[in-house]
Amino acid sequence: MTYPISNSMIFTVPLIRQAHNLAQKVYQTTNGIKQAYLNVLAAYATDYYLSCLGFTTHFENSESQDPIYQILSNTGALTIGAGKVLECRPVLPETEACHIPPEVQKDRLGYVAVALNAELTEATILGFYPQAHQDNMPLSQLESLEALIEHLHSPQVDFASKAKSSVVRLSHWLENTIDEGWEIMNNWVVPTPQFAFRSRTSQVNPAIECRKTLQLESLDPGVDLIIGIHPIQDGEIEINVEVSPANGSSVLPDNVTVEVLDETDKVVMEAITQTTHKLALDFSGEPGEQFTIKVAYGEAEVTEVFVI
Amino acid sequence: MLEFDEQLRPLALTAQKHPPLSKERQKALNQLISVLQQSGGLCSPNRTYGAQYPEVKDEGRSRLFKYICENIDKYNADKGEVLQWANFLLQRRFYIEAYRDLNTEGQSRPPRLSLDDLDNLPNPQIRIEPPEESMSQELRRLLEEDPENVFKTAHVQSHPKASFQFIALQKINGYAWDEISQQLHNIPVPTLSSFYQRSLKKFIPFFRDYLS
Repeated sequence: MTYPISNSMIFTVPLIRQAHNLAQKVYQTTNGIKQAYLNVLAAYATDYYLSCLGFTTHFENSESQDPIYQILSNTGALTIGAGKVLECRPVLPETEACHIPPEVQKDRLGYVAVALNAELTEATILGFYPQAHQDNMPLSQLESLEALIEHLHSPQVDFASKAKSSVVRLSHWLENTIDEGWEIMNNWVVPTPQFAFRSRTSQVNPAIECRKTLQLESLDPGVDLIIGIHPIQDGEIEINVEVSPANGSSVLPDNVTVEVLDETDKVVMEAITQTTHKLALDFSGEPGEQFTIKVAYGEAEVTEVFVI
Repeated sequence: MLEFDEQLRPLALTAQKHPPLSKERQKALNQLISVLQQSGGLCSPNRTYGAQYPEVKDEGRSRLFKYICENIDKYNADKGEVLQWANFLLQRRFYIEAYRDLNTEGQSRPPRLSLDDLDNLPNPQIRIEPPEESMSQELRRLLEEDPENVFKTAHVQSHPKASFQFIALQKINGYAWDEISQQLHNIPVPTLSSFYQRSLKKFIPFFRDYLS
């Protein structure tokens, strides 16, 4: 096979049975939408490619695998990093353009063109477009895979570095390594696991509690985000989130919202102020799990990404 | 193969020199796999695998590429060339493992379909059992009934007719974006589609709740 791209760096992904099984699952639930089958294969191939390079991807939680999305739209969305989305577009043999449907032309990190062979046994990652200017992008305008790697490392995208640095690692807090910008408020002695197991959970205190002041435009002097963590048992960690007024003021204005989002950016908990002093949310999680806290007031919002 | 060996060796060494996740390592790995795949020098599985030959080949190579990317530090240039290393791994490990796994778990799984298979359905190889009510029918009913009056009330600014309800139903009915635009006094497609994309994201939890 030859491709109309001058740079010869490509990456061919074998479409093994596992890939087809995932495609068939969506295909069956959508009552046989052929495009959905191809979209899943394109997203599978891009997921394989990016994970080979070490990027963090969330294929199983991506919109492309959701039959509701596949019925109501045409998408090969692949969620990567902390909830960013790459659109993976299947390109069929003997076509010279990559079709990018209007309903996926916003909110994407870029568009990856994935050539499928007629047997659907291999998918070749050809390159990408940073933006979609029209519904059918000529393959001759594709940018190289080298450019894609650069793009994923660029500060605007900041996907690669986010995976490494700006995520707050809560497990490090328990070892007394606090991330920049955070300040310890309370630090209790970490009990040994056996002791923690026996201790009465009714009077548990967080093992460590830290604060960071978030600046929200139109809200002076900002708010304090306070995170308390407390190991329960079997590695599970209880997390207390509190948003309260930063130094000075005593009450938060109305309509400050705080949301907890899971790895796929789905809101799992939320709260809103109504003449309240503070907002508090509690939940628990296991090591390695990632979540995001979004605090918003009016148009302004601040997010912090955490890994337990 | 000599020509490829000369290209592959420095790529492997470059990848080893840079830390995981650095773009230098990622580019070197991508280039290495690209050359490896285009060299034609990767060995094929034993022909005795018969009908399973194509799948053993794809499955084995799928494991190989991932292994090489994740374990490039294990490549020892003093012991041989990259292609030799790759073929050793394929023959001694990945083709064998692939064959074994395909025979233990793979048999019960449905086969891979080609573009022709997809175009010529119904295909006896794949069963699409129509449930009592398909998901598209359920979605259509939900959109039409609009039990919480949200699909009708979400619409493009100052165009009440261009509601999420109308657009979503037309999408299910198979209309293209320019046709939907014509039905709505030529509201431009980008206006409609970005409104639709945003609204769809907002309503997904709602759909999930109702369908489960």
